[in-house]
Amino acid sequence: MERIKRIILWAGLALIVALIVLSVYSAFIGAERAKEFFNSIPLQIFWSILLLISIVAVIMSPSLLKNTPAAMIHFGIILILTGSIWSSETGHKVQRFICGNNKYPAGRMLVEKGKKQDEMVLDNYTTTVELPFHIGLKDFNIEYYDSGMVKEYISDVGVIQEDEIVAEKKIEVNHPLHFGGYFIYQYDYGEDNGLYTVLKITSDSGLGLIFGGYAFLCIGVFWQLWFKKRLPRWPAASSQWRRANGS
Amino acid sequence: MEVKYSIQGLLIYLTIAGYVLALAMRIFGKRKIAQAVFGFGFVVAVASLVYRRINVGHFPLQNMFELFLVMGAGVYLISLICRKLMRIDQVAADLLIGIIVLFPAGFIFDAAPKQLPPALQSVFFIPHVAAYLLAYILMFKAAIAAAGVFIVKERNRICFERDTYQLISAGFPLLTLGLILGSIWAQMAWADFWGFDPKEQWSLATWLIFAGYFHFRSMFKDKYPQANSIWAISGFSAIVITLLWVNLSRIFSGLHNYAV
Repeated sequence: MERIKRIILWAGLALIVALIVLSVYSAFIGAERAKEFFNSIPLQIFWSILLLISIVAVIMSPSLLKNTPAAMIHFGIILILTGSIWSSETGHKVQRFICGNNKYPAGRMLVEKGKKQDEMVLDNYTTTVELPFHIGLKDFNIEYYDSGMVKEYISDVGVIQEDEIVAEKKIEVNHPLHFGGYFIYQYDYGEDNGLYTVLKITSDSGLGLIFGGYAFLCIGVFWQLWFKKRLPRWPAASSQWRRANGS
Repeated sequence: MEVKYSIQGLLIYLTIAGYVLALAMRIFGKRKIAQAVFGFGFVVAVASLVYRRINVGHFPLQNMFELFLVMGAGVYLISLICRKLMRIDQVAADLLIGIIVLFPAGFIFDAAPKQLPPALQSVFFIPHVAAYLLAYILMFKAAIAAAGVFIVKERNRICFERDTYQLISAGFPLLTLGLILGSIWAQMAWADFWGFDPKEQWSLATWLIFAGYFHFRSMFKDKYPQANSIWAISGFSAIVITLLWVNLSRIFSGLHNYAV
């Protein structure tokens, strides 16, 4: 048993070190290539192994499970990993295969003022897909500061399903519309034959798991490190040192 | 490097002068006077923040100048909390941190007021940045305590090792909170909970190094104080890179670059 515990501890440390190396490496290659790198097949295998080992390690460590906040931290990490995999492009393919839901991970939609649109271009720029709803643009506005700097981009939109408006919102940066399993964001705008807005549309798959994991992780970390008496109150180390050195 | 001939500049230089004087008093063993002068420096630092707040019309956490200004004031509060609640007395180190963070605010970073772009107008703006700044100050203190392990005689190492552990334990929850709030904010503003931006990757590396520290320390306790210290100092180095290098260098372009 002691042997198994040691193996788990060393494996955990090794995985953390591996992740540190991967994060630092990816900081040097720029965001786009980093995203590709972390979603590449070898890394997909790495994430799956990481998730599997985390689950096994937590189940096999009775001392961890007895410590509620520590168990919460590790459970949170497992939720975050699961949610991240579920929300990835491959995760969406798996969802289509298992649940049969036809959701797309992310894309962009151009809507002209006074018109409606249900087609979006996926993030690979080559595929156009149809969403199960239309988005109509009632109005698009830009607010400015007195200095002339942009204060806010605002798309006033309505979601239309079977010729009925089912949701309405003034979409601003930081205030997306959540509808039908998608988040709909203000992304860009322009003027051609009339004003148009570009909306970024991303699937919300896995986000519940991720944010739930964040809650567990956060509560667990504060509980464990701030609110738990983990050690007897030792005499203040630095004052102890001063006494020892007679100053 | 340029001198700021303004009320803002004057307030910063007055704070620095106060901290330097307090440090000198502390070194000469005049602890009470040092504490009073430290308090005076803090009051001036707060005045400088209030002035900035009125000047720019939003809480000053937008760019490097404002971040370092806030850290210069925050270091006093952290120092107070550490002394009263955790009984870790590191006032000389705290003053040194105060001087180190206020120097670039006074002489290097551009203080031109800027309005908030749409992405920064969010409820996450202040808590995300504030949690990180407080964590950074605590980790700075931890790194100083960790460096102490290498300097002092062997019988005293354990004291500094424990201080390091206490300080990292205080800072890590805030580091976690900053990271999580940043991720939720990114989902709201940038349409993705993780953007693989260089600054994000460094902040993840930082968090993982401290997570590694806790795993390593739970395995060996204080058996290898120097090894524990290396984890702590590496973590703080990663913080410096996250905070400065990514912003200041032109090597990596990324989403966080408006913060320069």
